[in-house]
Amino acid sequence: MSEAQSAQQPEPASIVDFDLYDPEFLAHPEPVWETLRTSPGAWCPRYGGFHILSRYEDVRTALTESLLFSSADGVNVIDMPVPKLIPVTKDLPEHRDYRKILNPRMTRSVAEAAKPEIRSVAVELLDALPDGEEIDMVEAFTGKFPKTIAMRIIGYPEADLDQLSEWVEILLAEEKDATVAGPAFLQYVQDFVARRRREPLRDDLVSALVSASIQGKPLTDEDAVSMTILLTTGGLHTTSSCIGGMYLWFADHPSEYSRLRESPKLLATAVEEFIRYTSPAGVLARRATENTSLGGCAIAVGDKVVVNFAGANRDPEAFEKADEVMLERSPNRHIAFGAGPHRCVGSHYARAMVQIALEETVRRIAKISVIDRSKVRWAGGEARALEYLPMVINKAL
Amino acid sequence: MHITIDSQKCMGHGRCYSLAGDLFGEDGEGFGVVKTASPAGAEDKASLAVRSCPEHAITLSDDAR
Repeated sequence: MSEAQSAQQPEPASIVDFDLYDPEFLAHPEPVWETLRTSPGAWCPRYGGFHILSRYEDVRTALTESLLFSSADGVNVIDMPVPKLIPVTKDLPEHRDYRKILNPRMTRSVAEAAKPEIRSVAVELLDALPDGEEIDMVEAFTGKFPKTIAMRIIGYPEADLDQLSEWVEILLAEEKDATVAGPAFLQYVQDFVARRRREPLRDDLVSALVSASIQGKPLTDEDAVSMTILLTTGGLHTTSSCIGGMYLWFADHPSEYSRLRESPKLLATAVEEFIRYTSPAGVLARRATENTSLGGCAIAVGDKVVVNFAGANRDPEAFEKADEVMLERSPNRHIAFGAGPHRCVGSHYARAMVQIALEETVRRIAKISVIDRSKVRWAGGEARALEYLPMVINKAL
Repeated sequence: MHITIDSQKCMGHGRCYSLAGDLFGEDGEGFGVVKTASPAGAEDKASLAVRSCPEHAITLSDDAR
């Protein structure tokens, strides 16, 4: 062990100690990201110690070199006894077999076809918002909307949505209750997958899983359950945080919000820009399979290497005025959905939801205000997720 | 001008066919395909797609020679 541990110390070490759960970091991560980008060989001693890549080109390289920077040991930064979910913890070529099942069900065309239904959920929630009263916007819309859509796409019964939401929120918050919620959720998904194997196929993701084959063999129950859990947890906090972050930015930039309301032609670039700016899937881990170096960083075989998507998307080497929202930004080569083989499988649905949230919001809401900035709460961890957003909205006449 | 997509690099982000639907399309898994290999008059759109692809999978080459 001593040899392996000494090999983990980068030379020269740029130790950058930061905490993914620190409320100050969550509210204002920019200075930490800046430090990480400008510290060659940045090394954080937490969670067993890890290299962290935060420059755009370094992150892109690590994601693209997916066999050198492997996902097979798990992708959580924080060492937690979480199951290795599929396909996010599979490397090529096996990874490809699993993505072949999901990709055709989650293309842009598929998401486009679902837009009328997605829009009707957004409209219903937005129309129900009280005018001029304080509400938690996450509960009322920015979180509830993507959660409702994701559950439908996967194929869960509507009657179970509240219970499922509760479990998933506990699990994503990595709370102590997870020891109870985890097994209960796992049991539910096992029963759900088993039941759906016996029922006629429907137009949802779980039907695609129970009817799928890999290398000529039916997908096992274990794999189907693992994939269902990943689909359930993967897209909730992320899409929610993008839409919530967008609302927060509107509250802080009322004149820009007005400009967006008056200029529908800005909406397309604005959607992409809010995805870049919020970059909710902040960090994920990889494991080096060989001795290598990247971005001035000596990396030893077995080292944990964290890719900082959020920091990379604010890299001034890659984006002009990187810490600002530029509604017209084009091109916008952000990697908020990752890069390489693990590119977010839900990205087309996520983009459709952000787009619809934006379109229907500017159509209905004249003014968005934060009640008390100090009360805004973020959940920490790999995703920088907005969990409480006290706001007042004024509807358009 | 000639457009090619390196299918080894394309990961299905869909930026090309979202931004320039006349020039690019998607296959059954969402990977990009070239619809119009020689986009006379649409050089700007083609260039935007190149500069928007996170995988650097699209190449524009001069076919004058």
